[in-house]
Amino acid sequence: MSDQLLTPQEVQAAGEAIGKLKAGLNQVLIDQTGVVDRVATAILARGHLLLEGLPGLGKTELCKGLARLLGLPFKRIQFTPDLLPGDITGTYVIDGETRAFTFRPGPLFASVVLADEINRSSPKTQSALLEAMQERSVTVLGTTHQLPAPFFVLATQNPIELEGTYPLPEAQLDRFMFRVIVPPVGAKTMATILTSRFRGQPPQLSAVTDEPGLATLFALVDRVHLPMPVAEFIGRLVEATHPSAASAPDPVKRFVRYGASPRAALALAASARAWALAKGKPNVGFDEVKELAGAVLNHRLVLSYEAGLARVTANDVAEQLLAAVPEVPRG
Amino acid sequence: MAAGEERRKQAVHARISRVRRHLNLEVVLGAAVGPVWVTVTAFVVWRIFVQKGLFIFGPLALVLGVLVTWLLVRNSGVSQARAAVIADRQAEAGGLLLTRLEMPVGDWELGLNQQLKTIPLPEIQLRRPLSLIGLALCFLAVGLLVPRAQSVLVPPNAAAATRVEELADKMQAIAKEEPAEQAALAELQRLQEELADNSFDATDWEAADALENQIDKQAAEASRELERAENAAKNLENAMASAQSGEAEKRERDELEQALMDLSDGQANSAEQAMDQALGKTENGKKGEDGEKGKEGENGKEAENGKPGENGKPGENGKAAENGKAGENGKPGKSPTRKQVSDLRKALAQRQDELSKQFSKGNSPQARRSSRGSGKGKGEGEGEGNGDGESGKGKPKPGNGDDHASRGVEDSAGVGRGGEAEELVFGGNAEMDPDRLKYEPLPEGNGGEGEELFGLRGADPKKNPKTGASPGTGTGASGDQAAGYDEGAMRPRNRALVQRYFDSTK
Repeated sequence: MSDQLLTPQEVQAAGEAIGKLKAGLNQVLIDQTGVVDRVATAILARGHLLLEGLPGLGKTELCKGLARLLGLPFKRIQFTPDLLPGDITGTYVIDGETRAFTFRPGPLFASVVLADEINRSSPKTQSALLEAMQERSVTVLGTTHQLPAPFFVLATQNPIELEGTYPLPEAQLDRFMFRVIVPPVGAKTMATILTSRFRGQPPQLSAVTDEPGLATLFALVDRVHLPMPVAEFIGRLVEATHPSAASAPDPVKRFVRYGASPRAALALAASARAWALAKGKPNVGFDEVKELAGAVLNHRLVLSYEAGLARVTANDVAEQLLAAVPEVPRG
Repeated sequence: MAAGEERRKQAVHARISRVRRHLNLEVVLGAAVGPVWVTVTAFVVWRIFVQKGLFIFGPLALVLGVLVTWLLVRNSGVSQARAAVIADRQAEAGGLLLTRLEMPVGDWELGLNQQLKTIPLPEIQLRRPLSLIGLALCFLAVGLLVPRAQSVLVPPNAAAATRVEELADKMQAIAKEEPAEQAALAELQRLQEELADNSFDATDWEAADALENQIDKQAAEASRELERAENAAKNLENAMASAQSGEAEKRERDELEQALMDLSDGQANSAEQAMDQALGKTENGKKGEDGEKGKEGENGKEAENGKPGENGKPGENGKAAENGKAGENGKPGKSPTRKQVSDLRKALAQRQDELSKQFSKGNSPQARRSSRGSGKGKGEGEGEGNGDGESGKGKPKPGNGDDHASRGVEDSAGVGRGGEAEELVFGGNAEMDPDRLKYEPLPEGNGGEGEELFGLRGADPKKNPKTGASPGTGTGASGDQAAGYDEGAMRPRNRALVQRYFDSTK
């Protein structure tokens, strides 16, 4: 962070770059501006993304298009039940020439990693992503290998085909900045897809930025100012997700078993910065926090059995939470 | 540069302070509703019901109300940080105003100032607190317009007021008979002042009791004097009725003069003056006498029927002669008539009645004495004592004319005896009239000698047919015409009784 607030020119430049990125993504995912905004925000905030939706909505194509737009190395991992951790992290093999064990990096060693159908692999394999997503490094046989920077994990999962799947553990979910629900598209959108794409092939995208340009964007995001009242609001918001907290509203006390962690607050603050910059602001406001709170909290709230009976989703609880927690306390 | 930055920051703070004051206005008004109502209500209640120290209580209540309001506002008032957030919202600055409070915003300053210049003040709810406070002020105005009740101004001491009023009435009644003592008047005035100042305390109650005792004693004395005068008038009337000769007239005159002198406390130089004084004091009583005039003539006629019997009582005449000594200063030629004496006696009785009525409220000795007096005039003592009640009705019977001197005198029978039944009185109020137990030796020849027992002669009286009274004209049963022992045979109606007790056939 810097003591100098972003200048209007810097904000404008960042906005243009972000606009190009979002425009490219909108070509991949037609009429899904909300999803595109979340994806772009998560990338700007250097966060990982979990896309959840029905099959055929373009989640995989979105991730592939994003990698192309960013101009970063891209790897895809199709998670299957027999996938092993070493298959994604890499392992030591004997080099035929040197007759020595050398580390062969797995598919994680890319800037953009698509973990397709992530819930189909075993928890053991899923756990291999924990260190990579948080530390951006992989430790194999006692040796830690740094992953390339930037490093993004874009995971997808199908919410309806649950047979033979392994729900992601809370620790794994917490490492995703957003869980973005990809909604079904309408008829008009489908008509557009039918007429604009030959045999369903995605459009040919070119990179809108490169690694240095992305680093510049990251630096600008970091300089977006987070005022203390907004930071306090984020803290109170996350605190109120815990049913044991005094400030927790009734829906939280009734439907939530475990609340969000401080990592959620960090993710919310970082994403709010990115989203504010994307909106052309040099600082974060309450609106940015509120707009992203649902995406940040919905996969971090562990709901109770009663919530399932009442068909209350985490998004519902998050909305009630935002309504209950004031921007600034009385007094 | 730094000064300019500080100045710009102060300008932002001023905008925020303006919003803060606006928000605090709502908070202050909301917090003031309760204290205002409590203060106003307390003030109005104090003004109406307590009244004392209003100018001290009013400012004190106001200060307390302000203090409570300030405490409430301090706890729930809008802080500068909160005002900044709300101002940021109102200016739609999107957090830039909050950022400006923490760091310079550089090129964003100009746009921020433009937004702050047109910042609209947040909407606050003033209608409800203003309405409630307005109602409280209306209530205060009404409370100030309500006239203060004087009875509340000084807490009433009804018992003391009644007591003092009673004492004043008694004092006024006594003043008609004899001049009141200056000390008693001063004490009564002091008690009235204490009552007016609402400082009537236990000491004043004791003083009121002492004053009442003093007044009661004076009333008793006045009543006794009136009773004596009435008795004297009655004796005189009886003497006049029985006087047939010149000697009797002289005796009558002397007795009348003596009675008048007694009545006038010896200050009159003549019988006429004494008569005037006696009648002059009872002008009010004369009006009441007029109502009895009708009876008077009838009773007077009946009284004449009893004259022969009265002559048969030598003791009465002797007593009258003795009383007649005091009437030497009178003028025989202008002695009052029997009618005047009768009027005088009735006037005295009426005055005594009035005095008795005034003191008949309590259980004091005077009240009891007055109760006896009331029975006397009305003749309600019929059947009691010596049976004089029959004469009291003014209906003497033919054979009773010589029974007693009071026979034949209208409305005068049963004097000093009988009366209404009275409650038993204990304690200090049960003191006995000392005159009733006072020993007075009978005149010479009327008993008291060794062979007599307080006037009852030892020898059996013989009936003297010559001096016996003629039978009365009343309708009562006939009896012996004269007192005394009769040698004749007993009447058949008494024979059985005598034989039963004395085993005698006579």
